[in-house]
Amino acid sequence: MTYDPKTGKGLGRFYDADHRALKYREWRGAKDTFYDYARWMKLYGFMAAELGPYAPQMARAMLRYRWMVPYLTAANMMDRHTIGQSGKDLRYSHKQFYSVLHHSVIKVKEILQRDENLNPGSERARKLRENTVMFDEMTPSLIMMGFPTLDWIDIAMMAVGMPSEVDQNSCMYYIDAIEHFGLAPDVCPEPATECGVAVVDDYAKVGKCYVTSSMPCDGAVQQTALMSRYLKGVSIFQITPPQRINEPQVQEYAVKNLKKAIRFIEDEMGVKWDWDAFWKNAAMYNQMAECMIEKWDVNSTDYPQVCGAALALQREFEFMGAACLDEYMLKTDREVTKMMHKGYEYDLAHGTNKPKYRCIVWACPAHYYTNFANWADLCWGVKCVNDMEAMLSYLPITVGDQEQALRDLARCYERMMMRSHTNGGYVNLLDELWKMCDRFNVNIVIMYDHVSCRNVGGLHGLFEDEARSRGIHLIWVPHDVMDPRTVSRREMRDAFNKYMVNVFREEPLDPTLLDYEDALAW
Amino acid sequence: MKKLCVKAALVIASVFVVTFTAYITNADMKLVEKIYDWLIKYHDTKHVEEKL
Repeated sequence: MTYDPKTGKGLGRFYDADHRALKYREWRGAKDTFYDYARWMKLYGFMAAELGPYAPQMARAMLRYRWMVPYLTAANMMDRHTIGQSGKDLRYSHKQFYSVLHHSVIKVKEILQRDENLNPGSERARKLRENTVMFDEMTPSLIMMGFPTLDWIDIAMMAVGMPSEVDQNSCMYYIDAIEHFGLAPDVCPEPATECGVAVVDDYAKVGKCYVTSSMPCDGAVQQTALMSRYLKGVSIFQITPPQRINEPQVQEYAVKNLKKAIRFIEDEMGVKWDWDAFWKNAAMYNQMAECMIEKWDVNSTDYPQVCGAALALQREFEFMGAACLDEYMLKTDREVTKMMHKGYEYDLAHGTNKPKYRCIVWACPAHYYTNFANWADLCWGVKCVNDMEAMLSYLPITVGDQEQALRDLARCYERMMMRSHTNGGYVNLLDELWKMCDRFNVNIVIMYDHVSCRNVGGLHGLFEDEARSRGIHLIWVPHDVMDPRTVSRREMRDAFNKYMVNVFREEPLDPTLLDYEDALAW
Repeated sequence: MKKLCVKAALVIASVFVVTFTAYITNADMKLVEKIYDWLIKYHDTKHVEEKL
């Protein structure tokens, strides 16, 4: 409990309506405060060691790319997701988020090393670009498992996806730019931002060819079309996984498409697919997936451990950003899994930390409010035991059988972010939810109502009817993914508060978190 | 040797006091806020042509 009823002091006191930064950091008791301080030092130390040698390029990048500015607030990202936490929860969150930031720092360094705009005329940067494949945000780079000698950078993840989750204000300029250019304002802000970055020419020039995918939604289709026009002179390949992913008949096509993608990279980059490297990386992918499943198993019990954004965001970046090719992330997975089992045994033996309410998060989340589930836990005691964002492909890749392995890899692409659920049709979006409610023993669903998403919006009434018949509380929380001007963080909290007060007749655990202004905050 | 140890301990203690003060008062993020605002203002004043 972080609220003191005697003094009236709660976590809301850290927010300042007139400033972006928190007023000060939390004193969590000596042990936890010094742990948090040590992790803070570690983060800055790592950033200094990795990016320090590229200080001139970093300074140029801050002036050249608007999206680079939010990366300055990395420590605040950690604070947002650990506020109010102590003990093992604090440690889970730190380890999980550090692995995400660790990966991002390395990718920022790779951009600084090879970007043409930051290193004009540099022969070294040119050689690095010649050896780098660029990816789109919604296309995990899993295919690079078989190309160990090549580098890859997800240019949209680094310019759009990651900054949007670090700083809620990062996308608005790009949304305005593309709308000024003529795009209708009702398009999903995610692809709109990616297009906005293109029309103001703010993508880093870091690679030789570009791999994207076909997302079955209107926004993503126009985004791919605009990116193709923007990347003049760059060869582009579109991985197009089938939309009806559950039917066995489509799998042959999916494998053929992947083989074409492999041939494209071979031809463009002048290298050969390496099966030995692929087996090694597939084994790493399998170990990461196993760690994920273990977390799910523990969270299905009465004593969930790694919850909220610490579970979801880490898996999202591990799969979509790092393509399960980051050894540091595997190391973190192993450490956190070990800690989690220990934590579970302790809670089980002592009967502690049983959540007051259990929920899962469903549908596309607000990038600008990644710590919403943490807030729901701190304010109302509603613990998020799983999140749709974490439910990406988790089935293993068969090691040793080439054809089966490609079928498994194709299945990974079929179950990547957005495609597996929000754009996966009725069975994968609607029916899957009730299965997950059973599996995780929850009767509350934080249902993100992305106001610009036609796919989920089209099933709104069906969700309501089914939930009512099953006795499940659907708490609709509206948002606009990357544009907090449409629905602010405060309005998102208000929607949740109203349900808890009017339906559950609940009292908040921390009344200072009920209503506060954080429109300026990162 | 003893002097060196004392000096090292003093340096470590000073670094700790300064960094811990910066940490607990969130001075790092308050400084970043100023840099952030300056950089965003700089980007706002840049003339950018919108084209494909």
